[in-house]
Amino acid sequence: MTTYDTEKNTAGTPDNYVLLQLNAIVSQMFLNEELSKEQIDFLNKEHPRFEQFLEQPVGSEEDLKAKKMMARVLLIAKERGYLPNEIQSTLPVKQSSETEEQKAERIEQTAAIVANTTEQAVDAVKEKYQVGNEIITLEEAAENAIDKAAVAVTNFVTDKIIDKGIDKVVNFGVKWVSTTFPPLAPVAIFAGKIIKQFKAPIRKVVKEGIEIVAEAAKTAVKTAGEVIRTGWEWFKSLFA
Amino acid sequence: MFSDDNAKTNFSNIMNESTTPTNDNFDGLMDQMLTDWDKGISLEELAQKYPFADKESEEEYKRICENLEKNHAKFLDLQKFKEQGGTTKEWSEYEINNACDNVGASDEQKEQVVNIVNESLSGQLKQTLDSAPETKKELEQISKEDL
Repeated sequence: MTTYDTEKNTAGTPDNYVLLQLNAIVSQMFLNEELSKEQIDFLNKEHPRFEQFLEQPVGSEEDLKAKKMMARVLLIAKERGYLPNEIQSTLPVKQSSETEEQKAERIEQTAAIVANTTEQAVDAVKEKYQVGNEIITLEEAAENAIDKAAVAVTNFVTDKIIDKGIDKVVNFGVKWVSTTFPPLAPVAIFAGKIIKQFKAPIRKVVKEGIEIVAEAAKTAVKTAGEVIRTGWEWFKSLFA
Repeated sequence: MFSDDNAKTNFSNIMNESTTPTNDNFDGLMDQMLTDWDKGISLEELAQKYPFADKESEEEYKRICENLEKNHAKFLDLQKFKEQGGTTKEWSEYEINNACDNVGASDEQKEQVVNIVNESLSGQLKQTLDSAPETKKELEQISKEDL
């Protein structure tokens, strides 16, 4: 169980459901009272609703809700100064003398980076869990990962075409994408934080998934070699 | 008192964890929000309980949600497209062509945009593959005591 700064809780009260549940359970133990089904479920599962999303198909409605919730976690943490440095350092810094245009640009960039970090971290945890639990195969996981990346990059570029115009996209396209899609380190940090919230058996399955994917990636990197330059041909080779 | 051994073991684990509190506010915040989530509250209720202090965050969150919703919807579109025999590459090019047509781009510009997407994607995926063993190490380091 973790502690946190309740003084900065904007809800105003240290409403900690976990501690309240535990207090009630301990009291009942002393009184030798039966535990309710809800209390036993509580002891078996730390975050049952969130854990359920791991079992659902990739692209389910619950995925979207989980991501929106996690994005709120990141932004509240950013406001309170709780963000891990590795994530904070990817975000644009507010300048003291900022024009309205620069401010709008900063907000847009921050939103894009937080959205991509959230999306990649949540998807990565689910993917590793599903591979580790044999819900999907390694090939299906790789195909999902490629599709997710293709959707994110295509959406980003097509949005820029509409918002900024074709000339700017042609001039700055690759640079824009590279500054908006975060490096893997902050994504891994966030994914690690999410993993810590799951109960031990789930963490174990995720760890198995991480090992399977890491081993496969090592082989793919070795064989990809020069083919990387040919773009889509290389993607196909992953499934050859 | 306990109806099964698992519940007893898990209770013991929880109690052990609770005696070694960390001062990690980020983990605590996430735990608190997930605990509320477990109680079945909606995203709207979560927003009321954890409002943003800053208007900028509100604006950022709105954009993030739009971004996540669009990616979600387009991912489902892509899956349907593939079920009908299309490929990811064809879908991406179709989307790019539509956007380019909307702004009256030339064929040469369309081709340049397709190359930008391909190059960016290659870079993204290569980075993912290259760093997978590193990512594994980082995740293990973060959750060393848990994993």
